[in-house]
Amino acid sequence: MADFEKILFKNIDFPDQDKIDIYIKNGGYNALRKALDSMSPESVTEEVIKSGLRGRGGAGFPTGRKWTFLPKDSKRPVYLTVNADESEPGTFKDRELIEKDPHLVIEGTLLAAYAIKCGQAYIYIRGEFAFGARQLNKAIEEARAKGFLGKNILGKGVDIEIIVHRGGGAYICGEETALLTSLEGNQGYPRVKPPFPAISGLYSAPTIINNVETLSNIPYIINKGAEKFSAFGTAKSPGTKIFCLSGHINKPGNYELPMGIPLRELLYEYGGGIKDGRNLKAVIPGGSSVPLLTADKVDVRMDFESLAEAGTMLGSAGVIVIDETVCMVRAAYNLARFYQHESCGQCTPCRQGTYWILAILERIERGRGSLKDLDKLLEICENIEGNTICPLGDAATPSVKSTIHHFRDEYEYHITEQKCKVSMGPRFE
Amino acid sequence: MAENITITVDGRTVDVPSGTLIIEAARKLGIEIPTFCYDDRLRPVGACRMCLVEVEKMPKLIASCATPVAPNMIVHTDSEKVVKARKGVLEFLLINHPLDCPTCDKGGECPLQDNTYTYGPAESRYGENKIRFIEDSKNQKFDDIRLGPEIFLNRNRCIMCFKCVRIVRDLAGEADLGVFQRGSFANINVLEEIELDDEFSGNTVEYCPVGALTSKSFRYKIREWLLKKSPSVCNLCSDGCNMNIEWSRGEVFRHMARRNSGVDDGWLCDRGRYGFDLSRAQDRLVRPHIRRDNKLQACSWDEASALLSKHLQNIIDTNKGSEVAAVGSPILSNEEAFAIRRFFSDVVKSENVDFQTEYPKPIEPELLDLIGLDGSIKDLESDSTFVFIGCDPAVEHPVVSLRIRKAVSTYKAKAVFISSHDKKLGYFPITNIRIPFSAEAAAVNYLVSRISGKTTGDMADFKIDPDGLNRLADNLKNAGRIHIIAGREFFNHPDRAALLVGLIKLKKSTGAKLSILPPQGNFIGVSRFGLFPSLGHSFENMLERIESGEIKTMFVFGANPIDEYPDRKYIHDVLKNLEFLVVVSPFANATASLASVVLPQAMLPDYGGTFLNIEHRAQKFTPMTENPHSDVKPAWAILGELSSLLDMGNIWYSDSQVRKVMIDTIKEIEGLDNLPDNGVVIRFPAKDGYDPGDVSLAEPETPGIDYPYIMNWTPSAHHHGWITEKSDNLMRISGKQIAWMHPDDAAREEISDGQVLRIGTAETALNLPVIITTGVNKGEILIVNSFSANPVNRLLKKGRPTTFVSVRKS
Ligand SMILES: Cc1cc2nc3c(=O)[nH]c(=O)nc-3n(C[C@H](O)[C@H](O)[C@H](O)COP(=O)(O)O)c2cc1C
Ligand code: SF4
Ligand code: SF4
Ligand code: FES
Repeated sequence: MADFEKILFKNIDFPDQDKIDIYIKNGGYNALRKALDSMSPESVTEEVIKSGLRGRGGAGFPTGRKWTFLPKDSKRPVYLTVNADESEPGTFKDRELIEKDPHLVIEGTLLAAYAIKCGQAYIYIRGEFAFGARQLNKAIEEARAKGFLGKNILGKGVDIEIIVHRGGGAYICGEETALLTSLEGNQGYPRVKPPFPAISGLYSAPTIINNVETLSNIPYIINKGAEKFSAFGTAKSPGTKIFCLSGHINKPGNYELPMGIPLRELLYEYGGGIKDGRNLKAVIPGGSSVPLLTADKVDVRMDFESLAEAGTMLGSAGVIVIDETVCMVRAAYNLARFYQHESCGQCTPCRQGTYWILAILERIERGRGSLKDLDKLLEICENIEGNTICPLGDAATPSVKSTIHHFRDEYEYHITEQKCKVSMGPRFE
Repeated sequence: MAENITITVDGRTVDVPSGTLIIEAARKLGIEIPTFCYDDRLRPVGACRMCLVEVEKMPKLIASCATPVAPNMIVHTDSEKVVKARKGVLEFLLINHPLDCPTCDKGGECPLQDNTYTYGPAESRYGENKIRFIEDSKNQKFDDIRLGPEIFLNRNRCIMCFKCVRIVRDLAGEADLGVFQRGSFANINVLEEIELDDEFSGNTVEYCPVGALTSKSFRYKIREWLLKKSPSVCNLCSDGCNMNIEWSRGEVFRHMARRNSGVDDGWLCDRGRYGFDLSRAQDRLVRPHIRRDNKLQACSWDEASALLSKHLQNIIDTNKGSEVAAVGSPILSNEEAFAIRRFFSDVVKSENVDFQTEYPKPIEPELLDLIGLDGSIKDLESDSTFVFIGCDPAVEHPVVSLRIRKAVSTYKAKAVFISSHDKKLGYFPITNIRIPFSAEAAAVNYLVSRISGKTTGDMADFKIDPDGLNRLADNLKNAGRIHIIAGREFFNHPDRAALLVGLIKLKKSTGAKLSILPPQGNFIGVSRFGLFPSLGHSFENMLERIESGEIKTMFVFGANPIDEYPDRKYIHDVLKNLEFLVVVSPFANATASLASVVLPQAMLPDYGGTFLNIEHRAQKFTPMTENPHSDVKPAWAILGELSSLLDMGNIWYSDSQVRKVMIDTIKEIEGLDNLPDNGVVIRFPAKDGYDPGDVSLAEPETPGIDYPYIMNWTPSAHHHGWITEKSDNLMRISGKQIAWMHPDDAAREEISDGQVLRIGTAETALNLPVIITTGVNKGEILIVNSFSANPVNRLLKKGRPTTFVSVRKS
């Protein structure tokens, strides 16, 4: 098993870790104190850049670099929004952090806000996370009472406020510009970029959006230094990562492990192997929006570069395990339903394309497909990809394409035999 | 100034200011990129993805309608990738589209149809069920839903371009329209109990790129390609929006915008758009009538002209021109106004001409130079503070108010209304400073004193709460470009002289622009081209002379004093004294019913001519070339024929010929000869240095015990002037007459919202449903709209600044 130090989940199961006294007793808010005592905002940013930390929201963009995109002397206020909308199927890491160690999230947020000279941060949290929102609000009040948050933090003349905003339960509001539109009180529609949020974001002011897990790494980086952090993981994907194991696995759950850990190790050593000793068929390694890996690729390393080389993506590191009992047509249909339902409906290719894909997959599922449908599906995917306002359109196609690519035989069986090759029982009467 | 950026589009370079969108840069090279959701006047949304282009070094295609140029961009609008993506977009747009072109009103002028033919796939690969939005109204299933009195929506045809939503929300500033649901089920709709009936709603239909939005007045009537278009100019207000009158076989089917970026920028308000049915209104006069056996009876032109020429010959022979008066109205063209003046001066030898039949007092000659917009309509977008006094731009100048809305909604300008009732610009943020009815002069004087640091008089006499005015005065001291705008209530104002003095002082003390804007169509044109009473009697004086028997014959052109003059009983009694009343009018009306002779007048689609709008822009309108109303004539034609019967010269036979004569007579207007499409702004030399001196404020009147309320009235966006009520369309949209009352007053009178109110004077009363609102002052009643069947001028008294009324449940 990998030799490393836990950065995010070190105290996750410590009794009462969500209470500020325990959090402090376990070393909490030291990083904030250190930054305010002895570091300028620029040197906090510098440290984060040096650590090589990359965004954990899905795209893996270097976090410190992102912060430097802010205009240097903006007359408008700068905003920080923490993306806690976590709605990607197979992803449930931010939730655990928020619920069990909310002060870690708050401290990370405060440090980032300090670094980018932001006085008002927002945490946009998925609507369904009612408990998480309560935890965050409680943590904010505790932190305020101790002088870590609010006006004149720790007597250093720094003011930072954090507001927790609950979303309405739309996946699209996790997309950063839709999140901003929603936060402003409008329908959650993504915006055309440019302008990028760092230039014109919330209320048209410069805005940084970071994922919960991304920011939860900052206290460690400030406490222990960038080198310590980048000692874990790979050169280009430093640090640890929370992998969300779900599906046909014996021990589903969140696992914090160094970047670059082999998928096999994740599944068999940590996850306890495939459920009921069945055979592995495929793994979706980075949340439902990335192409799947077939069972033979189980030796791939779990980091941004290795997965890209394998033709897929680390994404949100939602690792969905699929065993031999799963009909891949049914799986694709299931995911297509999700994207059709979650498309905001703003731009043509995604709005109509997701509907069309679903309609065809449903027909194939019902046993009324034709062999021509498969190429048609691939062409529809092609017409969506890259042509939409936001990446949701692109996210809807990998499940279709990779299932057709790797399991065409199952589709063809469906079409010619009008039933599942791997029988999962009837979906449609 | 922004520096220029050079980019390459399809191998050709173009230099554009930074910030220019790629699509506009391409357009500059004559390269058209197909679009659905793009409109250069609306916030880009980049939703339809039709305008995708390839930019070298960029990994993905980008929306050219939403992306500004960057230095050295190399853009391809027709590469293989682009062509494929476009085909894909069109295919996507069509999968859930009903493809019902044969029964769709948009057919022939549909961007979806056109783009599909030009760029689309030839065949559909879609074999699935289409989403169908249906309205289940009592189990009859309809595709179409009613959004408002004029607007219907077929959501199945909608391609979600968001134009309608942006027009309603960003342009008009209303909240009526929105998107419901997501993904392919996303659909445009209104909330229950909400109607899409704002003053610009028709623009959503015109600019919808498919047949999803339709107008009740046009749908299912005719195919677009059967329509002929006559370029015209709306005259239902003084903005002068350009439009096309679209007609077939002499019947007008609709008005469509004809973009003039200096004036309307391609928008029309619903009054101008849906008032197209006026020319075929029920009350339209299409034949001459003469009074026989005390009844008006239809006759031929020959008969009517013979009667008129006999009467006039007699006057000319006996040298009694001074016994004749003529009144016109702002619905007349410049050419008509000119011909009327010439005819009465030269032929009848009477200088008694006027056109101001709806105001208690004529405007002073010196005021003429102050009337109109200070600067251009476009300039309004760069003003930073608007102060409206006695002007309701949403009602009086709908389309020009869009410039002000734009400045306000983009936080470039503030708008402040000093008024006795609340006014608005959609939901855009504005400030209402409320003063008692007709206290404008006092309020303006107070502002002037406050700004110049003089002691301010006691406002208690005028019941003015100075807080709002103080704040405004402080803001005006260091505001940028201030624009003071007075309007309809200025002309109507009981203390107009004092208000004018105050406005001029306010302009001087703040360095502001001052615009005094008459709301009626060609007010400025008719006043400039002959109908201003510069030598003879004003209308007010004419009435006295009629009473005393000095004036015996009156010609009325396009006016309707009985319905408009602010004392109905008085004007009726006076006009009855006339020996001979000739009414030339497009419609039968209360004034015409008193006449000895009634002549059918040509109106907008029947004839050609020019109007002047509020910025003195002369613009040309042209007639339909087929007209079922062969007997209607413009004033110049009627008078030209009379001249020839009287053997007196002055024979006018076409609007352009009248214009030639005008140009020979009035030197400032050479530009009228060859008017370009977007018109010409005429600069009349101002007689400078008009100083009205000091005028002391009139004492406010206090109501008595029996009639404790002050009554005021206002027209509305859809009904303004006596003509609009003849339009079935406009009456369907907003045919309501209501009274506003303050909640405290309602409580005292035990009246509840919606009840019918009897608003009475000693002599007469109106019964109207009431809206209880704090938008009006305590002790004041505001009546919205006046109709000939229930006219507000019944309650008004000549010479009195205000009317006091009693109010009770009816
Ligand atoms: C459809 C869609 C959904 C997304 N949902 C989330 C989400 O729930 N949480 C998240 O952190 N990022 C989400 N993202 C990614 C964000 O847009 C953004 O890249 C991220 O929040 C940036 O934070 P990071 O740099 O810290 O990763 C989503 C992106 C898309 C296109
Ligand atoms: S890609 Fe889909 S989710 Fe994103 S803006 Fe377009 S329609 Fe909305
Ligand atoms: S109704 Fe017309 S204007 Fe409105 S979104 Fe649909 S297509 Fe666009
Ligand atoms: S025209 Fe550019 S996206 Fe619609």
